[in-house]
Amino acid sequence: MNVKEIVEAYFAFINSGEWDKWAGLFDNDAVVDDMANISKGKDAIKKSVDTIQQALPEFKNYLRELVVEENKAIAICEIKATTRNNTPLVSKGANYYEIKNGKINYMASFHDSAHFKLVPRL
Amino acid sequence: MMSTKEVVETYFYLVNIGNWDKWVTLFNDDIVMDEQLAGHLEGIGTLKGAVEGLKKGYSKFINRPLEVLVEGEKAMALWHIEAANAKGVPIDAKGVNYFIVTNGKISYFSNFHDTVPFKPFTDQNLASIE
Repeated sequence: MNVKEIVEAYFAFINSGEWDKWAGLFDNDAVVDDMANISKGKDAIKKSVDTIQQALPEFKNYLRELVVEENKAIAICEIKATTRNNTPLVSKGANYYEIKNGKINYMASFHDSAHFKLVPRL
Repeated sequence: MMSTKEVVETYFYLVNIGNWDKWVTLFNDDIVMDEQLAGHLEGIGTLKGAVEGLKKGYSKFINRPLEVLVEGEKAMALWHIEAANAKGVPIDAKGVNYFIVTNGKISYFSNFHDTVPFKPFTDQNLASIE
């Protein structure tokens, strides 16, 4: 897959709930900085999925805009989710990606943490 | 006419030398902006008004582009802001700007970042700042 296809697959696998395929997009040594946590390595990234699923049983993340240059991409995205307490959550934000050998090697996510204040702590 | 990349590079250059009056000329008269702190803005007149708030509310404002990605008229920039409010309280944040550049001017702008690091700026009463 090229860089654009990898980023499109990132969102498609989230929204189809295919989290194993989603985790397969990352390099074994990938680093993900989601503002709240930094996950290092594929195992830590897989574990972060459990946290999302427990805190936000309904979770979708829609790709709104994408710009790709060489092995880097930035996506504008919109999270629409529901907490365990059935509180709706909407957050528009951005993801930055670095791709190496067809896998996501680094990713950083930028959202307003104020949007996530109502998410129950695990 | 400047290319999309040149417009974005100039955007950061003018911010970092504090030339807000020249910075505002990079935008189209009909600019539409979705700014994380200021909300939805339309028109160059509204943007010029917002610039006065930036001049008063920040005693320091450095915004370094870490990555600038361009595809035609669209550009995204990953940035790192090191700033201070009017009283010198520090602000440190990273985020992303999205630009659409039409005929050498920014016609659409939005940005995405955590608002919490900007509380020293947003919690100020700008009217009380000389």
